[in-house]
Amino acid sequence: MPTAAAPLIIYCVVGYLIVCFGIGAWAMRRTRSSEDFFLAGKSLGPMVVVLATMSSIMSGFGFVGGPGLVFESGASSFWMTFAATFSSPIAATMVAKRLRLMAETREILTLPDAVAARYGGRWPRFAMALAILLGVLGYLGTQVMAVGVVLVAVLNVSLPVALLIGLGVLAFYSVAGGILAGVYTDLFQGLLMIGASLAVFWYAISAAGGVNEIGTTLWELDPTFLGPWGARGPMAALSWWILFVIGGVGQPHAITKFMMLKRIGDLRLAGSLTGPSYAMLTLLWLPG
Amino acid sequence: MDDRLRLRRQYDYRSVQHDNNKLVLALAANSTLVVVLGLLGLWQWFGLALWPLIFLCAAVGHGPNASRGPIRTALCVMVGVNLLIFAAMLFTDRTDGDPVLILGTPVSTAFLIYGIWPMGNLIGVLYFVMFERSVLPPVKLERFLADFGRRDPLEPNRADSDRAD
Repeated sequence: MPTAAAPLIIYCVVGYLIVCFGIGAWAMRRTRSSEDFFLAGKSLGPMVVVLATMSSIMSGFGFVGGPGLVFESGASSFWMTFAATFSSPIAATMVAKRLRLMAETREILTLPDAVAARYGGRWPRFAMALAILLGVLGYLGTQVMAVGVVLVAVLNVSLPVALLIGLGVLAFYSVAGGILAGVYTDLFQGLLMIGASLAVFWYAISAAGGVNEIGTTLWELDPTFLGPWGARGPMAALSWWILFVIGGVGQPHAITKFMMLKRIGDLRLAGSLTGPSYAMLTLLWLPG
Repeated sequence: MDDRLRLRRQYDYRSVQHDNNKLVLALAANSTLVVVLGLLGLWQWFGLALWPLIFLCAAVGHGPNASRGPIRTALCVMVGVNLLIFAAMLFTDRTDGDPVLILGTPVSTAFLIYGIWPMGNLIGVLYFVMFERSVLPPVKLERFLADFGRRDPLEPNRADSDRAD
């Protein structure tokens, strides 16, 4: 039996999937209109939005793939995850306020709706929808793959079966409960991620004998790995940096959450706390 | 509408447009510089040019207020500090000899982890502190809602009406 398939881990994963199902069923009863389905009825408080945005930015790509990326490319990958500390407040300042204001005055359920309300006509709406489709296709593939990889390790099933289980749970809660289910599963996942990041950070450092011990060992193995540019070199690290800072500002799954805030004034707290809360999740990458 | 009020609004609009145009032009110039330096492979200069670009994006979010007063000062100080930290990182980046480790990382990486990483939060602090003064002043919010009209929360969405039909 693989180490990851220990009974306790299997119980935890099955329990997690059941909670996601439960959130989907709960949200299904609360979803009555298209505004409920797409914008959670604009009923969310700032902390729910902060934690849900934080976990959706980190996602399976960062949480499952992140430590592997650190293992492969060293400090190069830090430029990718540190970017969110900059992109989150810039997104709040540049985009979130405008979207939330438009949602207050016009019938806006999605980002293409917002673009159509701002610029008029069908083409801007179509262009936005196409940009989102092309932009998130690969990203969604990564998320599904992350679920598959975890389920293969835990349930000891083949990858197609693991993908079917993961997609089944995902399809149920997102179709049945709409964005309300999505936000509350993000919230649940976010709280788990914070706990796991703090636990892994402290466990990894204490198991290795402290940060200086880790640093000295890595330096002896490969000094470039521990340098600020890591194994990928400065151009790759800096390109990741600007890609993730500027690109992070427009992530549709993150910025639409600001449209769901109950009060416009809640933008103040939600916009300023997303970055620091994401930084807690980054602790998982550091001892990576 | 009172003519005087209309003229004042028109004046405000032009002034705001002018300041926004300056920001957008600066953003376009900086972006072009970043692309050119990147294509030339001058990575140190490419890295240095990224910092004004990032803070110009934050400035665009603050709109015309970013071109004057405390927001301009705060953003300029942040760009300056980030450039200094980045330059310090470049100068201390060495992989030969005995390592000097600060909390488990070489000095240059320590500048990245304990210097650059937390600096992004200052944009969030500025956003929080200046929210009512610059990001969304209550007067501007009221004017926006008066100009564009708040949606009736009881009004059904078009999608729901279509479904009912």
